[in-house]
Amino acid sequence: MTSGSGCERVRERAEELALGHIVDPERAELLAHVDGCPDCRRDIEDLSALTDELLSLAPQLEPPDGFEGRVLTRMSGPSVAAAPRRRVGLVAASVAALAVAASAVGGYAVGHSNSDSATGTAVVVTTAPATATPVQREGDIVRADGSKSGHVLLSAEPRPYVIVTIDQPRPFTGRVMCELISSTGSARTVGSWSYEEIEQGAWATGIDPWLLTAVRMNVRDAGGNLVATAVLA
Amino acid sequence: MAGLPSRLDRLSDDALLAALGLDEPNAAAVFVRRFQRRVYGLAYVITSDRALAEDVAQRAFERAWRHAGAYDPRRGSVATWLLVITRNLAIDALRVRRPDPMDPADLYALLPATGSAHDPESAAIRHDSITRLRPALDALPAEQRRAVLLATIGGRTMSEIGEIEGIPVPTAKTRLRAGLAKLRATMGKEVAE
Repeated sequence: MTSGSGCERVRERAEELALGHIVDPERAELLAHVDGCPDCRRDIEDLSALTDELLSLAPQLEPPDGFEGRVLTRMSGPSVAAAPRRRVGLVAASVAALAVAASAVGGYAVGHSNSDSATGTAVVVTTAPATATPVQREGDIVRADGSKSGHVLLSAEPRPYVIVTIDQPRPFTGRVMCELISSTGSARTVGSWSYEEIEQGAWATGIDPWLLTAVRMNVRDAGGNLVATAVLA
Repeated sequence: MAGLPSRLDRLSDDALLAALGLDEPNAAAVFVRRFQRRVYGLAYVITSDRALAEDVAQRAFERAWRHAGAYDPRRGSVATWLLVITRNLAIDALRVRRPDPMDPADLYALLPATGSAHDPESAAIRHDSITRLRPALDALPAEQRRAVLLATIGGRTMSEIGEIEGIPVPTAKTRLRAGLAKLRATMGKEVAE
């Protein structure tokens, strides 16, 4: 499917889009068109492949003394658990709010409508009760290009849940699937959502209790391609 | 430590990243040693600031470690994935703090003539990129080459390129577009042959 003005806009900004110079919301708007337009998608993919490959020509430079030790401390120390834990109060409130809403509709895909807010997290937090919910595991959702797009957590109460909140407008296009990976490596698709659903607040679904110890959540597109992931700790 | 990482040292980049994602002991050290000069090099070229470059490089490794599972081999090599993360973090850092940009002539002078990575696979991939891209880059008109280098390895926006080169933004955009189009055509021709 092509759209004259959409194609024109993408063509006008193609190089900057491939180079990561465009920020949301314009980036999301352009990508929404690219996703539905085979010509533009092929063009951006080719351009991105070229600009990414050009990075391999960057000079190699010796980092400062002690760099390796400092970076390894960062990769093994408390930063893994500490950074997400700072958000427990906020996300725990999100779970509590969703759990209440889920109970009310007896359901799975749950949204909070608030047309004034661009992000689901803000909506949920402002409407959440102040009670804490046992958060089993959580992690940031990161796209393949390394950019953070949201947060996921697993909660045991009032019954086992996975809840996804999104920080950016339209980070994924089309319907995406949520897959949890257990500590033994087995994968289970627990549901799917579209941006229109998650835009209204957050997305949540009940899960089997054994999935509360999942170590990773993958987000896959309709073709099964990995579009984002979250390491759960 | 001597001898400990020998098995990991022999792993391909893909396998090493998988080991990193599984918290394999010593995988982080081998991963950092394998890529630190490239990650820090790109971070420095974009930021022109040693302290900021180190911070960007550290965050790039940390992000790769946390999100090793997000790597999709169909979209490029591990090195390219790591460098794209580095570039994105460096661009983000520059949105907050903008040091003096590196001169395009200095940037060009820093480009490698041949591959020199430490492990065979990285060296092969890097050498392949250099072998294919460097001559195509050399063949561009100088002003297009500068625009391409500033926008890619230099992480500069169109308005910054305009400022550095003393040209209007549309001209900077035109030079970048023309340069990339020629590179694409050259690389495409190579693939076809």
